[in-house]
Amino acid sequence: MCRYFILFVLIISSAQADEEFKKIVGKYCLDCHGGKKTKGGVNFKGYEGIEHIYENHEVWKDAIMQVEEGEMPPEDDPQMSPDEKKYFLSKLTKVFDEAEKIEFTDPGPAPLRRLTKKEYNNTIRDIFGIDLELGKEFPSEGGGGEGFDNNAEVLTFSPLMFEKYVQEAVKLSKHIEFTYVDGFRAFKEEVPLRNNPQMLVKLNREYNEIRNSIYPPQFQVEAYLRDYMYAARDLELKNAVDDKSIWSYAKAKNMNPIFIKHMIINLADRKSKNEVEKKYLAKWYALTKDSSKKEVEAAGKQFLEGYKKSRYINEHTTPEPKALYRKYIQNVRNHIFKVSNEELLLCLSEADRIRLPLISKERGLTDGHVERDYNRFISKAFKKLDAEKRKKALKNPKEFLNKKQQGTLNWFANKRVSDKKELDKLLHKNISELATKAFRRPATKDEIAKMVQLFHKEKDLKGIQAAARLVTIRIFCSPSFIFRIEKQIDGKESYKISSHELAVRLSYFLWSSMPDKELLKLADNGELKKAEVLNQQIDRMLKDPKAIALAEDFSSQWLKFKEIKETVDLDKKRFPEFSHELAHDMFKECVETLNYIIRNDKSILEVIDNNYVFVNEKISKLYGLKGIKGDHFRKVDIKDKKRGGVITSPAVLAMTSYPLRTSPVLRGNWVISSLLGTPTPPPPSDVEELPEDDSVADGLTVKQRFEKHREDPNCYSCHSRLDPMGFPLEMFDPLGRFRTKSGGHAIDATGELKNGNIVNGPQGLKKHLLSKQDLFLENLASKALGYSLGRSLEFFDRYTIAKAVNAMKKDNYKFSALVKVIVHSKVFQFRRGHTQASK
Amino acid sequence: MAKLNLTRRTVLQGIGGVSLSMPWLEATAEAKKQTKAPINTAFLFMPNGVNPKMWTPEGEGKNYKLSEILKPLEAMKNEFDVLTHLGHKQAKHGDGHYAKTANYLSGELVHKTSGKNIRSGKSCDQIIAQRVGNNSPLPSIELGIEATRTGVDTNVGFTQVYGGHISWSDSTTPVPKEIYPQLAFDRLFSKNNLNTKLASVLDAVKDDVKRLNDSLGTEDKVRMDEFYTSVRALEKRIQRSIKNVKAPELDPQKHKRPDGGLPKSLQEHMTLMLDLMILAFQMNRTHVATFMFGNSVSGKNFSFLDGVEGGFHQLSHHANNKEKLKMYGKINVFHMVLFNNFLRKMKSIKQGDQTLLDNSLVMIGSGLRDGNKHEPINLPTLIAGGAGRGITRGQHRVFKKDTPMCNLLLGMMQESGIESNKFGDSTGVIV
Repeated sequence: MCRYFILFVLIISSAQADEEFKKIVGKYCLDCHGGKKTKGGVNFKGYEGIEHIYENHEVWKDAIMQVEEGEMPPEDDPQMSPDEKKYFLSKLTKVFDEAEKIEFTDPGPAPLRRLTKKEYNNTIRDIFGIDLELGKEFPSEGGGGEGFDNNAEVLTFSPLMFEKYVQEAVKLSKHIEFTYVDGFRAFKEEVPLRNNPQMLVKLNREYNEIRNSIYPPQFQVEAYLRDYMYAARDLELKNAVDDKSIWSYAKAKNMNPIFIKHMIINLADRKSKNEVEKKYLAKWYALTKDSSKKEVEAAGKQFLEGYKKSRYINEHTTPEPKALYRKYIQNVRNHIFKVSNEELLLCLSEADRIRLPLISKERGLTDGHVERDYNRFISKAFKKLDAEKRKKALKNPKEFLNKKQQGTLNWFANKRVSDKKELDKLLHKNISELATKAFRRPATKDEIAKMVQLFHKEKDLKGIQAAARLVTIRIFCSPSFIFRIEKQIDGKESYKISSHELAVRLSYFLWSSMPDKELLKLADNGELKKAEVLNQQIDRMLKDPKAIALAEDFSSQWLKFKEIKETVDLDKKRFPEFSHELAHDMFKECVETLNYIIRNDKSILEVIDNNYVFVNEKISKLYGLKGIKGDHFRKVDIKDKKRGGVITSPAVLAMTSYPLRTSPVLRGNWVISSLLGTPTPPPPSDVEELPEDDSVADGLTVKQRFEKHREDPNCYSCHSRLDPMGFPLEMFDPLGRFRTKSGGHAIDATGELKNGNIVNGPQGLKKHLLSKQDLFLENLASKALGYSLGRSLEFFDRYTIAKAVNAMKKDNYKFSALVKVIVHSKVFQFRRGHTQASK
Repeated sequence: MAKLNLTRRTVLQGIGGVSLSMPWLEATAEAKKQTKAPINTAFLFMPNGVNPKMWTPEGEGKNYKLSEILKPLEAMKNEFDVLTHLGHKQAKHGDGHYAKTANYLSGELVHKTSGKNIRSGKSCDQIIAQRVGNNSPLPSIELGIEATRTGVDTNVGFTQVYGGHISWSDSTTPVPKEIYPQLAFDRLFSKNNLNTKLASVLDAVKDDVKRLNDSLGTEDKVRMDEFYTSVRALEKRIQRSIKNVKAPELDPQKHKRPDGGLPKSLQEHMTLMLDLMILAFQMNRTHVATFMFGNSVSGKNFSFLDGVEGGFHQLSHHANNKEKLKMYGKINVFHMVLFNNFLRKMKSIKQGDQTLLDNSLVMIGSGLRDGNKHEPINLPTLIAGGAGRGITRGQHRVFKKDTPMCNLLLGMMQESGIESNKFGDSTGVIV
């Protein structure tokens, strides 16, 4: 009832006037759009009053423009009198204007959403701090609403879908290692069910952990690597690389000798250097005995920079030095110290003990390895004694053991935990922690108890690791993980969602993933409810590397450049440069641009025009830029006014081309649909099309052919809007390269607007679009709102959209201004009451 | 890129050596004896219609002449009928392809929406699967080669969901298709994910649903119901696999697991998926299957065919251009070559005195006639198989104009053992 209540009050006084409006609609619209005929898919049948406008707002909004510009009613049909036209427009415009001024009490539906395939992987990545690339083989989302894959209305569920969730959960579980102290941890490689007691497996994992942890404390890793690199170099320079020397060096410096040795091996192995190594280790390899300390430091710095670059700065643009690490691991396999466990234990620092699962405290609680090592140690140390005497000896070990052995025994005494109660407590804690993260809410006591039960049952049959796997599967198949569930409260009134639910909505909006610790903490203590705290969080989150999701997921769908990877199929004979890889680079370029604008909070108008491009070697060639080498992307300032902005990016220009020629219509359609949000209806079915190939000359240029085509009044109404937006881009071929000729003719890159103004070339187009910035901003705000809510927009969403447009205009067109309006809006922070929802 | 040379010889041999890489099909042709072979139903969907001038054959009844598109099927002429003048009345509402795809197997109206309240009809393959699918480990399998596109076609205002699904388990739930050969193979033949310990997980998950339902709104409960049904479906599968419903084991030597990822060539991909369908029928893994040769509006580049340059959808908008019509027809011929191989392989698999094809009903067609006009009347339709049930083929059957396609769908349902005498807008029964 109250959905439209406020507007109703406003309009009700003019009920009589409404009859007049109805009459005009009946007289001029219903012949073609009245049920029997629904030209262009537009149907005004059933227009009984204002509610029809609310529920079909998109069509009515379009009607304003069509009538305003004189496109409707069509030329040959009876025309509205000036008074009628004025009345029709003022009436409709008023309805829309009012909606922009009033915030409705209804926040709209917030349908249950399952995680999209992208969100699924991101969430698991953030739970475990490692990207296992799961969910890739899920069926792709059909998408809906404002055109996004996260649209809840079409995120349906089916048996196949669930089977895939199970499969991926099983896959995930194989990467999990459970320890009572550290709980569930994931590793890049599968963890063997029976842990291999050999330390090299553990070492592999240690390296992997360093390599794969997504956001490790930067300093720690740096210091870690640097220390070991320096140690390796130190020893190399001293020519002291035998086991004994390394051993005593490590002991003296309280370091891990194994890592030092592997660093030495790796650095010494200068054959078959790959590209990455060459780049980051060039200086290192160039060092000699005579190198100065300064040079050694510079070499270490170069390596670390490379490492940092690949890990933190730009995961998406620089190839990870995987090969480098693979080699490390290989080396671990090939060269292992010949020392006993006891010796190893004694020699390591406490820090290393914690790092190395082999000897770390929790190890004893995993699967009895420490217990076994302990027993081995005992039997070795006391091998001359029988069981009776052994017991006695253990009470007084000093008599039987040397100093080294005593140290080992002490270590074991500290690390062995066998108290069952303590173990149980730890198990509860770990399961609760994982479930709480996965469910994005505190796990209930009952849930935890049942999972512990499941764990014990499986543990008795197959051991601890198998039990941990089963619990993992169970958690990640739960609807509490798969769906984003919000509590539904009874009642007619809408209500504010909880702080936790707000944190979840926010993080999936900005990161396509779960909230991080900071956000959860602020939700826990209620701080997030404060407007200024929420704003700080938005600013922080937009700067976070995870906000690349807004470029990769939101922007790629808003501006459709996702299609370059998926559906574009340029003819490879004509364009041999075109390949799967190039298409991916084109996609990356757009992601880089959007990521730059959003994360640096630049003006969003830079999507239309700016003075830089992001290029790597391949893409730079399409731009005709020189001197760019390598696969990684970098920002390059340009002077060429034709370029800059997403409009003239190869991705957009290629995806709006046919396999053999450009298409001014597809390009124009992209501009008016994706940028301005004013699409045209599909072409009628009896149209004669252009030849496939623009290099086949029939005496006419593409443009001349189009102009002929436009003479037909049936075509004119749409093409007068499409063509002038497409022709200025004719200066670029299907790969997005600049050209001056096509099919032997000079390019005419001008388009004539309906008002007679000329749009000349890409500069002219950009200028024209900037003059239409209201449409652009409104479209962006609608898209962003639809994306953030995961539903189709409702009439009353106009309020938030209008507010967002104003906020952007007032604040230098910043994306953050848009986000803040959305996040603070009622539609984002409220839910319908139960009875309200079921209406 | 390999060119497809459409000689009679290559047609008989199979395409591009694919049959060589899948030796198991030939190998399993010598059948294990089965007493009572169940009826299999297969529905194959081609996007973007056909070249109308090259589709409909001359003549009627037994002595008709195969049209240009149907020529590849010459050797199989006695195994199928050409059906002329079948159509979907409800599909006339709505522009473009979407309103003629999601309802291809139901004949219901496709609700025009960008997402809110998606609705089509429950498709007949799913009705068969739900009623009689319990006889096999999987009630049905849905296959394709293109991932569903994401987004909304803003020119016509339909969500892409409609263009990617012909199977609907109810009027609001599309059934996604598998496009990865290896995953489809695993789903059909692997037992890894069906162990008993999973049962305990599923029990726990069902408990979760029950608990959650209390705090959900009415609309959300509907979605959670879908989830619950999906959990139940897997549970039933596990139970059936434990009971070991007449599903013979694969010989891992003969039946090689396909490689991961998507095959590079379109013809290999399509052939693999169709081969998997045959193997699934033959090995009793399922008796209901659908296959989409592409999503609606599929723009796949068919330049690998001799004399074709361009994408399928662009070419289907031929605008009566001779060149384009020719290329469009060649793509249709390509589909028929694959279909011919499919029939031939099914025919070569003996089941007692009969063949797999005899014990199957296979329909192939499109939701549009002419891709240039998008009209859902006189749809290009073939029906094959059924000899095991006394059905004879080999005719061009011309029906009265605008005969409901649902008559054929109803016929297939009845043959599958569903007692029903009405489906969609059906006015009779065609088998």
